[in-house]
Amino acid sequence: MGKIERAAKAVATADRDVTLKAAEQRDRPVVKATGLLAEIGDQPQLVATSIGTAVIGLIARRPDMIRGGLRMLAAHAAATFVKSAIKSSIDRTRPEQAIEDGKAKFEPGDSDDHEQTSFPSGHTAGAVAVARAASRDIGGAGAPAAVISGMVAVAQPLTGKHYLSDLVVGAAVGWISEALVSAVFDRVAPVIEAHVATAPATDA
Amino acid sequence: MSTPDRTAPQDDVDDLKAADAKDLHRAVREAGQEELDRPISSLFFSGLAAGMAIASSLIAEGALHAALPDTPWRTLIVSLGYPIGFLVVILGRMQLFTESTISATLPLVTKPSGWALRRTLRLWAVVLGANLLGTALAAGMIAAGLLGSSELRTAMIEVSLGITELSAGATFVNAIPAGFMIAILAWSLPNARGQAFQVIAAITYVVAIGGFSHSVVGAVEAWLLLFVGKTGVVQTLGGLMLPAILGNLLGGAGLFALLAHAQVRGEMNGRDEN
Repeated sequence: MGKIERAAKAVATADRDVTLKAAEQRDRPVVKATGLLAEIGDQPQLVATSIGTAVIGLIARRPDMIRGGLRMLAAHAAATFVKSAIKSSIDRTRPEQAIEDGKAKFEPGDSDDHEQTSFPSGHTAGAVAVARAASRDIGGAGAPAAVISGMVAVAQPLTGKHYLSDLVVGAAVGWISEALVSAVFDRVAPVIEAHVATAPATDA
Repeated sequence: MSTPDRTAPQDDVDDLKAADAKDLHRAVREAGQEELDRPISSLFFSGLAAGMAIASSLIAEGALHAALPDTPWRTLIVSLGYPIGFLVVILGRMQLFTESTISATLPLVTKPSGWALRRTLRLWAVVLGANLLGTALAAGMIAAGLLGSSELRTAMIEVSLGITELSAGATFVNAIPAGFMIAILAWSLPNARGQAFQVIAAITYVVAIGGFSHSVVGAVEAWLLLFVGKTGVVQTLGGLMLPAILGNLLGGAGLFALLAHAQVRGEMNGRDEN
């Protein structure tokens, strides 16, 4: 076994052991409460937050919030697409299920069983993508968004839903997806905004 | 000597019969039960899509409004656009709050329980929230001039201004028949079979020409007026949207669902409970 293989195996073992140790806390009330709060990272909540931001921007006549909300929505859609593609090609037993069954798998596969789609963390991918997008347009949103996305990520192993490596890959998916979306968004948005600027604010 | 087979002809006759009230109750109730059992994310995205799609009613009305002269019969023609969004949403099996007022109520009134009540409230909250977000997104695009020409946008604003002619109280009262009629629609669809298009078009056209207040279509109009500065936040949320939602809820869940349930309650006697 080469050095790289030994290092990879050590990381995988640490990943599993630390996660399973963390997941032993999953029945504590404080962990359950944290898990409930971390559901802000679920898809409906993130989509609602993104659209809600744009709506508030429309009401308050805040172009930064309108642009931010739409960027958040687009970044979330991209991150969701990528993480879904990965989930549908890799099977990994969720930590909680692994503890209950005493066995786990992590291998190529196409299971759509929720208990076998631990890799990567969709909550983390979505939360990181939305947080990054919000921080680009909306002044003062960066720090709170980062804290919330961090909380969403940390709650996953504690509640037995994801391994640490799921979070790392999920965060990377969110980060890269948002960066790609923003690269396009920053070119398309000015064109759309120029079109919107020609529409009268109030007529009829 | 063989006995004549009468099963097939009887089945044919049964196929030709319209379902009776008890059968309809069961069909709507089972559909409602399926909705109650759906995960939140499914309800949310279905409701979001419905909210966006229902805006096609306003787009169609706006297009007709822009093309017609200002005459007394203009409203009758413009209202032909109103059913478009409902056709898209209902035939596309998307979640619309006003349809779910009856479908989610029947399982609750048939077997009342804390679980059923929580599930019903969950369904309404998620679907209504998603519908409103979807309508806001569509209205935002209309307000920004991203959907259609400026003439169409102006026409949609003119059509939308109609909802501001009613006070909050009048909107609430006006929304009760709208909720009642959309509940009738959900009740009738199992019997409509191949005529679903005509049934949806006819009933929603009556809602339009009757000037009744539908909370979700009205939300597209209300958001649009808010976004272009024709109304304020308080008037939009408290004077236009909330009264329409409450009126629809009363008309659909409070009146029609209970009447529909009452007419078959005595006949059920637990026979079709499963």
